Amino acid sequence: MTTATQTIEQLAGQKYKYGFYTDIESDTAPAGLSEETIAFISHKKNEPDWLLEMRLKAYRHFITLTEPNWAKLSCKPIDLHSISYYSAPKSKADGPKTLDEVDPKLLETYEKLGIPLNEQKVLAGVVAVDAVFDSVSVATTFKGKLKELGVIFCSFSEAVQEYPDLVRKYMGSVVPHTDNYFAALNSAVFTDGSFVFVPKGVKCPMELSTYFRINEMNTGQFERTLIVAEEGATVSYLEGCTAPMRDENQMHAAVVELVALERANIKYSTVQNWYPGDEEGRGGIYNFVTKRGICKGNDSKISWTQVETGSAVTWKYPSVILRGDRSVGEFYSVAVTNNCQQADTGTKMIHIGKDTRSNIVSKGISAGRSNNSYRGLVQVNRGASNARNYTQCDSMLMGNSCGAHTFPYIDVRNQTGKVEHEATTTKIGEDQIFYLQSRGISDEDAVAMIVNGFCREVLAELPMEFAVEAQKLLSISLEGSVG
Amino acid sequence: MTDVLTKAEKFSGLFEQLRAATAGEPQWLTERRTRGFDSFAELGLPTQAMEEWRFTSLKPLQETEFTLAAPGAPVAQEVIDCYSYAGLEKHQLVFVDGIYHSELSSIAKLPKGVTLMPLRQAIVEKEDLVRQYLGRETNPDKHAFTALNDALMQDGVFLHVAAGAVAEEPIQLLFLTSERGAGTAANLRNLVILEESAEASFVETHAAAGTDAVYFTNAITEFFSAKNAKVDHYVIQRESTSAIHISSFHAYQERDSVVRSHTIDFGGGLVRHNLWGRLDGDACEAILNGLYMLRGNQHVDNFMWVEHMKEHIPSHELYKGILDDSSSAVFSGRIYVHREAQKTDAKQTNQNLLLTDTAKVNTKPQLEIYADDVKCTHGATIGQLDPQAQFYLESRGVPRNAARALLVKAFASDITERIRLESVRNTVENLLNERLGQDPES
Repeated sequence: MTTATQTIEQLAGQKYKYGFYTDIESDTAPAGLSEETIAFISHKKNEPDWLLEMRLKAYRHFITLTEPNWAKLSCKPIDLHSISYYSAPKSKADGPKTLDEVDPKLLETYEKLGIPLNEQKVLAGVVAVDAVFDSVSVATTFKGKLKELGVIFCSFSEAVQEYPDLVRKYMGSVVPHTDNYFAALNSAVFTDGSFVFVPKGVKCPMELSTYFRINEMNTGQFERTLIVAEEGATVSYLEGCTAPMRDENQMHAAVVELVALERANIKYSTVQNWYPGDEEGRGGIYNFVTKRGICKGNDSKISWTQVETGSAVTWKYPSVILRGDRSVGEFYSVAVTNNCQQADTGTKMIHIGKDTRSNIVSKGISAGRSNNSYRGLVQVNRGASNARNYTQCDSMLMGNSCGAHTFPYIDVRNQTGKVEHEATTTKIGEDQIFYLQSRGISDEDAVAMIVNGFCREVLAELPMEFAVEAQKLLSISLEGSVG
Repeated sequence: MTDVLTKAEKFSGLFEQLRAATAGEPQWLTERRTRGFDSFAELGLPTQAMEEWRFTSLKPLQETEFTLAAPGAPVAQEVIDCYSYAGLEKHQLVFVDGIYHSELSSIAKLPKGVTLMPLRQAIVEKEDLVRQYLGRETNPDKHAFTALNDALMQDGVFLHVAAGAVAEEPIQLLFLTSERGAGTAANLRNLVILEESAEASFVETHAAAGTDAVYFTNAITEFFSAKNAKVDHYVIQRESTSAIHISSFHAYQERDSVVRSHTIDFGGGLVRHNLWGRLDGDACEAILNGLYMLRGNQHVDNFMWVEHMKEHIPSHELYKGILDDSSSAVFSGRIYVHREAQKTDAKQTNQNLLLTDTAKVNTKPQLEIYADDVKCTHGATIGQLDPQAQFYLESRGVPRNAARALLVKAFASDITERIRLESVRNTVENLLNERLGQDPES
């Protein structure tokens, strides 16, 4: 038990420990959404014409849409015209070549975040961090080492400049701009994100990782991530998030696209710990994310793992389209909501190819006055013979003012399909707490222990570094919820 | 907008026609009809854009013009015999094309405290009770078919069991559609009121008697179970394969009451069952079972909304489906656990067997929970017959078809075995055998 040494009281005493704000002059677009704003972003980023065209097309589609309201969420309507769609740290203009040239204030921020870039460089190539600071990538490490293998890992803007053909070929092929309201918005105004390309037969030797961070006041973040794994390639990608404390709701609408060709294997892990708002539900991040992967080739595999503890509102359904025969889709999720947080999250598994398999394990924990919903779709198309799905979603409730909901959709059109869904909802076991307490373990420690046990199946899927952080996050998020 | 108007216009002829026929009705009922009609005009028929109707298209309903049936359509005694159950003839109410048929019905001497009569008669003789309960559980402002039924309700059954009374003999209800019933719309309305510690059981059969044409049944059954009341309810649906059958079953339960409901579907072209349960008393219990065996292009949609409002309530839903040919089924169940409903024990299961590649199932077993000390589980499976089990049987010399039938019957037995009335159970098992191409005796 990692938390055993670090007592819950200590953790509980912390408010939101990542709540600080770095004051750096930024080159910010005036608030408002219009074709001019989009042209401004595109111009700022020196983008080719086809990309501007794509953005404008998405924008023109976007203005015909209305915000969806089917999710079990209630949040204030977002005024898209009060958001600033572009902000880049000034230092970018000077173009830092090495870490030494980077604004020391930025480095300081990262250190507070617990990403010691300097240290990590020393700590021998375990993780390459493409740190995103308010939309523009500032520093990218270990690129050289990756380059030797032909792996491209860079910011999205860089990819647009240097690998326009690859970007053009794959961008929007999994999540088209017509997909949904937030995807359309993202396609129009996205600023930056990550781009990963693993060529044929290459097994990426290290975990690729990006830390996203929302910093500039009133800046919606619209990342765009694209990961392509060619035939036989393998890649594991980590995404972790923290955000400074602030009162105003900040919107986050990212799009993540994964493309797995024949025999490719993509693993995407997320730990999301954005500011969830205070006890009364003031502030906090609105998180509307479209994540989707396609198993394009035969025998490919995509695996999503997520630990969602932050954000005031989470709207997120990482999905897999199982197009290739014998392809595999996996989804492992832990979602924790406390105080006034709301989460509506789940997955979609679309079985198209033959002998495709998917596995869904979702653990929801709600405490305080929060609402936590699992919403998922398993679809087996007519041609998807011998498709197999197993879904398990378990919910745990703490306290009697929270809600836990399960909304599975199962759609089967092939007789050889085998689809199973199981769900349980339970209270945290009083007898389990009693047992632990009778062994001298404090009740909060006991809760943390039980919760970690409840989520074990999912946490086991996380890469080592994340697993430790995730366990701590679970304890912090649930602090004071049993009494 | 014009679309909505045409939908309302579609039934407005019927409304006018019925208004003339029901001129002598009490004022409150006329008002209810008008309110129902107005809100139907506003709501229009549900569309697939609505979450609750996403997988069920009402196109056949939109495409057909309906009329009101004339009373007195003949139905042969053999037909009655064919659909009724042995040993349940004592209290038998027969409705033909939605209209009560007194000659074919028989109501034996009822125990003290038990009132059983067609609703039309109850409106006259038991007006206070009808007025008090009718529509208490339904919401015509929100649900189009409820509104339509309010506007056009013709007849149905009225059962009132006074405190402590027991209707020992099961009550048999036959809703038949005759040859003349082709193209008609029947709006049935049943009202069942059980006072404290009352008990009753009834068997409802919907069937086509000599027509293959399109006809439309829109039935609402309201059920009130006071403290400690117990009721068994069976619906055997054997409509023609072109029939459109929409039913809504509303159960309101007070403490310690028990409702056991069984919905068995063999017939119908487009079928939708709405089941609304409001469990509003500590330790009341709801057991909801369903079985559907479909073929051809049949479509059955089971919609369920069960609300746990008080403590210590168990509710169990088990729906099983067998789908052949190009049939399709929808299951959407919602268990809603209110904040006060601690110690809830809810279980929701939907299992489906697909026999062909063209059959289709959409299932949405959903939980919405606001209390923390609960045990709620739900499960859904969609699969095929186990080839190993089939191989095992065949290797023991059981012919392929018989082996298949055996396995399907075993799958369905979870439901059939829960049917407590023997003659009903036998009938359901025979129908299963028939579907599986088996001799009823084998």
